[in-house]
Amino acid sequence: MKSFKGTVKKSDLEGGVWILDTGKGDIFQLKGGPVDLYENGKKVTIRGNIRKDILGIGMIGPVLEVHETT
Amino acid sequence: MKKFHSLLFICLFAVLILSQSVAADDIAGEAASDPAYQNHPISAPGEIVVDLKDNISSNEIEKLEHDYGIDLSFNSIYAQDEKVMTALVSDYYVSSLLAKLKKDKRVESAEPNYYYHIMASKPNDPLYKYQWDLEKINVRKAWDHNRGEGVIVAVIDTGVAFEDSGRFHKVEDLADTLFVKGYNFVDKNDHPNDDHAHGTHVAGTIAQSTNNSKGVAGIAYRAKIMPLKVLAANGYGKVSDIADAVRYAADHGAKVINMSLGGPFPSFALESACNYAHSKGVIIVCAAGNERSKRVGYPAGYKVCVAVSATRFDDKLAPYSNRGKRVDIAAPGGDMNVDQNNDGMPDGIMQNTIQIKNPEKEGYYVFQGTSMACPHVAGAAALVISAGVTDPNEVLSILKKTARKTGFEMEEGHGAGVLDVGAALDNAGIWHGWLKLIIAIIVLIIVIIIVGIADSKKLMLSGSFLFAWIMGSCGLFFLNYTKAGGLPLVNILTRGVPEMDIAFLGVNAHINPIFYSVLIPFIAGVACYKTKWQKAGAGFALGIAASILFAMFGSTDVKWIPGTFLLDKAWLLINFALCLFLGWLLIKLNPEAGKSTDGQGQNKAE
Repeated sequence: MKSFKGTVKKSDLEGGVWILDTGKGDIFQLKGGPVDLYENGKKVTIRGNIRKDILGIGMIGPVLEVHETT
Repeated sequence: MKKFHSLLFICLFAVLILSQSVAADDIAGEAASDPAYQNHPISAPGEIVVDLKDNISSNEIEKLEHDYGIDLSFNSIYAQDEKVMTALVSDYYVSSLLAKLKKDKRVESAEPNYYYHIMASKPNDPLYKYQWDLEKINVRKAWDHNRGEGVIVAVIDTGVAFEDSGRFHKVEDLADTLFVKGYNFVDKNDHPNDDHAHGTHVAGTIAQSTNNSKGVAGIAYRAKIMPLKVLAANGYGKVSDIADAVRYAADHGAKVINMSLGGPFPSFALESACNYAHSKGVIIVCAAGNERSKRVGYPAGYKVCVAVSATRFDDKLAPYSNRGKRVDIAAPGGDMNVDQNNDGMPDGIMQNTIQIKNPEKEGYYVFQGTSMACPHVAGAAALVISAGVTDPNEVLSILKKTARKTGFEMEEGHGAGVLDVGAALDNAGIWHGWLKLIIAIIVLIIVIIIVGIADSKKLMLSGSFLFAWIMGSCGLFFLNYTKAGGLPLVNILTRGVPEMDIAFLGVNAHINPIFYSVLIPFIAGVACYKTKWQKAGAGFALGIAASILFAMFGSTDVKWIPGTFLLDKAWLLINFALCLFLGWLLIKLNPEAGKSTDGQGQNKAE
C-alpha cells in the first residue's frame, strides 16, 4: 500500500469522474473510501492500491482504490 | 426431359425472385412505417420537368406545347428566367415523351420530376437540433442506404435502461429501440440495467429511437442492442467480467462490440477475448481514453480493436482525448467548455439517459469524452455491416478510407480522419463489389487456362454466361454508382447470390453454409443441363465459386460450423472446389464448346 498526496477534483468527463490530482502531472481515478472524501478541492493524503485489474468509464488515469484518508 | 429441366429452372428462378420480393417488401414495408420515409416517392407520377432554352419566346413555348400535346407551366416564379417548366402527362407516355424532348433543340434538358431523395429531411425528433455530432458525421446520407437492420451491437458498459424492472425503467427514447438478450456480469443475472447513466447514453448514440417525434436520434436506429453490464454504479468493473462479456457477445451473434471503457494497463485475458471475438467476425470499437496522452489506453490499444479519439464541433481534437499513431479514426466526443455552433448548449453529445446513479429518473443529458466518440463509430460500423460488408477488417478499412481528412491526421491523433458515415455507406457496396469482381476475374482466368481458350472463349463471351457469372459473384454492385443506389431491391441485386443470405435471413445468418455451398449452383446446373441456359449455369457456378473464395479470405464466421481445426474454412474450400468443378463440367459438357475451332468440343459433348 502506498501514499498519494493531492487534491480531490470532479472531472466533467463521462458524466462526472472523481480524481486525485497530485499537482505533479499524475492523475488517479478514485474508487471507494469514505463519502466525505468526495469533495471538490479537498486536499488529502490517501493510502491505497493501484488496481491494474479494474477498468472504468473515466479513462483519465490509473484507478486508485482508497483504503485510508488523512 | 426437356420439360423437366424447364420446370425445375422456372421453379428455382421463381423461388429466388419470390424471396427477393418478400425481402424487398419487408424493407419497403418498414420504410413505409417510418415517418421519415412517408410521402417521399422517388419521382412524382406522370410529372416531368423541362428546362427550355433561356431565350425562348412565349410563342415558341406555345408552339412546343402544341407539338407535343402538353401543358407546360412554370415550376415557380423563380423559374421564369431559367425557363424551368413542369407538365403532367400520362405515366405510359413519360419515357417516350422525354426521349423526344431531349432531342428537341428548344429544350436544354427534360427528366421525370424527381423528389430530391428519400431522406432529405431531418428526423422529426425535436432535440435533433442539438445533435451537431450526427450532422458532422453525415448520418442522414447514410440513412439513404439503411438504418442498421439486422445487426446486433453489444454495449459493454454500465448496463442500459432497457426494461421496466423493480427500481429500473426503460427510458422514453429507447421505446422503439430493438434489444436482444444481454447479461449482467456484475450481479450475475439476466437484468443488465443501468445504475449509472453512462451505458444508456452510449447505447442511445448507437440506436436511440429515431423519427418517433420524441427526444433525440441514434445512428443505427434499427440495429439491435445487446446490453452487457460489466461496470458497477461507480463506473468501475473487473477485467475478468469484461473479458467474459466480450466472449459472450461474440458467441451470441453480436457483429459489433462497443467498449467505451478502459484503463492504462494491458490485460492478457481481455486481449485474448478480443482476439477471439475478432476471429468470429466481430468489429470491436473502443474509446482511446481521456488522459490527454500520446498513447491510447486498453482495450483500444490491442491490435484487433478500433481506437477512437474524440473531436469537437470545429473538428479539432478534444483537449482531453488521447492521441498518437495508434488512433484509427476520430469522431465527435464533444467539448462542453465551448459552444462553437452557437445553439445555446455546451458542445457535448446529447442522448436520453437516466440521472447519474438514479435509475428512477431520466432526461436528455449532454456528456463529453472518448466514450461518446466511440459509439459513433460503432453505429457507423453497424450501418456498413447492414450494407453487406461483414468482415471486420473490411468494415474498418471502409470507415478509414472514407473518413474526412482534417490535415492533421497522424500528429493530432485523428487517425485516418473524422468519421463520415455517409461517405462510408456510399462506398461500402462499391468497394466490396470491386474486390469480389477482381477475385471472380482471377477465378475465371484460372478456369480459362484449365479448360483451354478454344473451348472457353465462345461460352464466356456469351451474355447469359457473363450475367450469371456476375450475379453469382459480385452482383450488380455498379448500380450503387447510380441514383438507384440504396433502394431496397437494388440493395439485394447489388450482392452476389451467396451474399443474398443477408437479404433473406439477416446479417446474423451471414455466412450461411447453404448459400455458401455448391447446392444452389448444382440445382441451377441440373435445371439448365443440355438446354440453351447451360452456359449460364456454368457462369453461375464459377461466380459462386469466386464468392465463396472471397469469403474464405475474410474472418467472418460460417454459421453453424465451428471454427475449431479450421472446419469453417474447410467447408468453404471444399465448396469452392466443387463449384469450380461444376462450372468446368458444364463448360466441357456444353454442346457449343469448341464449335468455333475444330469441332473437338462437339465430339466431347457427345
